[in-house]
Amino acid sequence: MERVFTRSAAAATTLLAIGLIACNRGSSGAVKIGAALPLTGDSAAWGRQGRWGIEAATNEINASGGIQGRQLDVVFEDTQAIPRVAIGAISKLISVNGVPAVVGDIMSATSLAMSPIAEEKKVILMVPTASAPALTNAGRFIYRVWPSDDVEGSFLAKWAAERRIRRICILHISTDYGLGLAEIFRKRFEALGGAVPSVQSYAQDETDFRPYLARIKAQAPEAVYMISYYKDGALILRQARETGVKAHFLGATAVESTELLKLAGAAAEGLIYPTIADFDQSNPTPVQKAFIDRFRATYKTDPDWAASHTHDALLVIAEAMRAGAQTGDAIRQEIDRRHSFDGVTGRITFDQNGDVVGKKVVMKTIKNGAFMILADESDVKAGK
Amino acid sequence: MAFGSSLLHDIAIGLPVLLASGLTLAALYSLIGVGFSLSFTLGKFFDLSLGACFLVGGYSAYFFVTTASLPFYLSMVLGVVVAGLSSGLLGVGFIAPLTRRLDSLSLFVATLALLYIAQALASLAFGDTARVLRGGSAPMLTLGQASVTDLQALQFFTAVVVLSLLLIGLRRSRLGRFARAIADDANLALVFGLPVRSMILRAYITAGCLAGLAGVFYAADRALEPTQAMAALLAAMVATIIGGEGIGGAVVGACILAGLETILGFALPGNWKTTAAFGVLLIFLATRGGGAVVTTDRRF
Repeated sequence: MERVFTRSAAAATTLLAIGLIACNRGSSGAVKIGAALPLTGDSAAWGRQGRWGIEAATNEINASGGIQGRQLDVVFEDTQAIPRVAIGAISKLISVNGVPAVVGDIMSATSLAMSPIAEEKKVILMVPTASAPALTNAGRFIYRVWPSDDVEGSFLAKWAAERRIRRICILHISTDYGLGLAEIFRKRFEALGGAVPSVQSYAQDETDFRPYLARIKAQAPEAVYMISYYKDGALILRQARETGVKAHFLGATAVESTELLKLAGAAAEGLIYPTIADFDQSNPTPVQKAFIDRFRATYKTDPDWAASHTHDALLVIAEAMRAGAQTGDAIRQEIDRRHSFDGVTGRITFDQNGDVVGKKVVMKTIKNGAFMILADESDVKAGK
Repeated sequence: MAFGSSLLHDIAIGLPVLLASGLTLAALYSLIGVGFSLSFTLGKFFDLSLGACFLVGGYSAYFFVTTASLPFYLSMVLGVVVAGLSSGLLGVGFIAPLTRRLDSLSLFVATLALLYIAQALASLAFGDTARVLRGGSAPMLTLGQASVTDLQALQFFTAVVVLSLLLIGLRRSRLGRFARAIADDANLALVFGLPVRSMILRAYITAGCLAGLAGVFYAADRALEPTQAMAALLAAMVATIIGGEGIGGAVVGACILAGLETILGFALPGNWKTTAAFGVLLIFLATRGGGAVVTTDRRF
């Protein structure tokens, strides 16, 4: 009786294992790649764009023959923009779905949380937009197609100093993204002769910024550097107008979301912020125009920086896999060998740390309820 | 010394903004805190389903403004009405049957489940993105040297009027006397034939309306997301513990917590603000278990 039980258990386990392997490969032998994005939570607007960018790239790849004749299938997991949730998401993608590479995340904190797991399991983590400088040395399996905050923070400090703006208060979100960018900007701006009367931070879920704005109003700076996401950024702009803060507002890339325009309304007018100049919808390259047209036709909206960069993050992985790389280690070797890839955000070239290099920064503003280029600025590299 | 004098200088200049911000926050916490206090005093459990009413109020008002294109202030009133109706339905269909069978801890968990269900439904219906009743900056009202938005003023004065009427009603009406008797000893009140269950239900519905009103103001003055109900509830719960049981305790606790959060937000980085607020909670628990206002003899 005991032997019957043992044999039955062994048979059942084998069947389950075969089933699991079949599931991971897909019923039609599809190649699986993971995507860990904030699909719900207060950053869901970016997660939605990111998902659409990945779906658009998947459709293009499959339409052009897939990966070595096999269809590409992307498995999505929700990080909710919360680090502990992101750890669960990537663990599931690796251990249950058996993916060799993951695209994710939009946010720095979740990307940093996932990177040790990707590194330990030798799975590629292709970060689409997270910009915390700490990701530079996160590991050999960590790449990103968006430059480090060193680039954006240094650029804005130089831009402000050149325009003789001397006193800037910093109000930043208390995440890896906000903390890192605030420090980069402060150091660079003070080195260029500027003064930072105050650096105030706020928790991610705060909605009442009036006490911080009262302090800023009392310090009467020429400008406020607001390092925020779109929801908190919109509320800060609204409440700044209501509390009578007269200073000019400077922002960071993350404010560029149509949700900010909806929430802040007229209070967003005149906000100036730097962003990476590799995906300008007002002046698209032919490749970008084709992508925008396809995207609009499918999703009835324009792609933003999150969609274009998740698109390219997947494209880089797929290109490496098309060359025959099937494991995380092989994909890493192929990316390092090829060094450069072409996507809708232009040429993507990685340095020895897996960071993208050679991206330009531009200043943008909000005018008449739309994001637009303020001026074309020269290339600024980190630390220069 | 230089830091201290600089801070005092900044406080002096920023005082009108701080006062307006602090009073508005105190009004918000008071509305939910009094709701908590009512349901706890009569029902003897912390009712987290008030968070569901908070969400229903806020999102209903948002629906009336955006989808039904109704006027802004009318939508706010309708949001409170829908929250009240919802709390009535929840009270009759969910809370009342459960109070007969479950102890306080189980009721607490059951209402937590209700809150999570409401969050999930709000997320499905309206998405996770922040929603506001009115985009852009609010119209300003100038009072001397201070400027406040129309919503800040409305929020403060509505809370004062509503809570004053509630207090008067509880102290002077027949139902108020019943409520006090039940709060003192529910079993004895039952022996004397008082309508204990219906009074608990009334308290629940009133608390739901107050939470719904807070939700409407939150969506109008700030921005509403499904997960924010829990944060607002937690703050109100802390305020209730700081102030002590009873309406007066809840209001005093709300003022203390709002004042602390406002002034610490001005003087310290954001994360220290929360740390300091909860530090005060611990001090109150350690030194004044009954809260800042001793109300064991007169809760209302």
